[in-house]
Amino acid sequence: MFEARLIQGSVLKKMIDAIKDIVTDINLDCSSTGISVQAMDSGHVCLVLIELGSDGFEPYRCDRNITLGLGLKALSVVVRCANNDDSITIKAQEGTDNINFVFESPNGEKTSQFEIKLMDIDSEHLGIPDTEYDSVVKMPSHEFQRICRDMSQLGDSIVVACTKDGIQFSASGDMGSGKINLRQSSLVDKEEDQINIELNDPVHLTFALRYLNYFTKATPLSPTVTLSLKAESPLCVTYPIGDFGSMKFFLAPKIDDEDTAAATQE
Amino acid sequence: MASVGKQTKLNFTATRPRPVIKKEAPSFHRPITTDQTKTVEQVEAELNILRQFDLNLKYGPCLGMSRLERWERAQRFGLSPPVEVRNIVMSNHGNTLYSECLWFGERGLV
Repeated sequence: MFEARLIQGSVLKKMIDAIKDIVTDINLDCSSTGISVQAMDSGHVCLVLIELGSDGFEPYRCDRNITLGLGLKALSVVVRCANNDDSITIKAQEGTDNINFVFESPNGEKTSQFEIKLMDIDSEHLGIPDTEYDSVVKMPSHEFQRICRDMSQLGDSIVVACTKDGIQFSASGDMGSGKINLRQSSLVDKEEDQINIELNDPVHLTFALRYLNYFTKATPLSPTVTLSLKAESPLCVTYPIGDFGSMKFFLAPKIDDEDTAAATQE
Repeated sequence: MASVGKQTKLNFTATRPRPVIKKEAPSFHRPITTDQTKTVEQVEAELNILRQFDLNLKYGPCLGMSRLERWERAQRFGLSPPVEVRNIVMSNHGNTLYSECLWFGERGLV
């Protein structure tokens, strides 16, 4: 028996909205510690990793580890029926083919119940190594979303460069080119407005903006976002979820043609 | 502005394949199943085709990925891998003798 109730159902709504354009189905791995989801896009270019600790739910019950396969189409249709202030309860019974969702309004006057069929999704579990990143940058999430959106007006790719002077985003195309520089904040009123740049090594990477604009759909989840960069490695974009979870997106970089053969032979 | 470059793929390696709780509900991922009554000769012939695919350098190294992954990768690179390799693997879904390269399970190699 698996049952988990999220008081702030809007978290689930935002999460589903952020991934529905990237993946078509997901496996929810539920255990006593919480729920985790790992899904790659069909091109194997990006991966989303969601981790929700059991303490974000009240109640949380997971008798035995269970994997629930869900199609994103059905899931997003159902979850859209919840109001932003509803609580969402997820229930699944071992040996049955369905997963149940219950949405309750805060005053308890309205209750909605939905049931969708579980899917048999055969996917491998990928090991994501603990990485010592060259640079870790924390910034307001809306700022990152704005930068990605603005740069995609100029070109398909964004170059991200971290040096001791800060982090620079640039793009170019037929129309012209543009550069945005962010520097470490000195004193700010609100912690979430702070730009924090940790630099172990300068790093210079190129990414496809199309994917970044998908990832930034998770902006409503958190006022801050963290970008973790390392040479020749996937970018990690992290949106914390309250104090009990996180949503991470990994994106493989674009590499200059001469290096491509070497990189893809790995 | 510097040249844009080619999109690479994620290179995270798979850990153990997850044990999937099989359900009877309509599955979008039903493997292609075939009649199980094959002769020993037929099985050998199929496995031989797969081995030839493993050993063919044209499609890159075979270690560290399943045959299907290597086939799909070859397909993406426009190398036109033989369709029968894919068909044989897909019709023997779940059987590592078919899905994994010939050195799978050899300690120190895969």
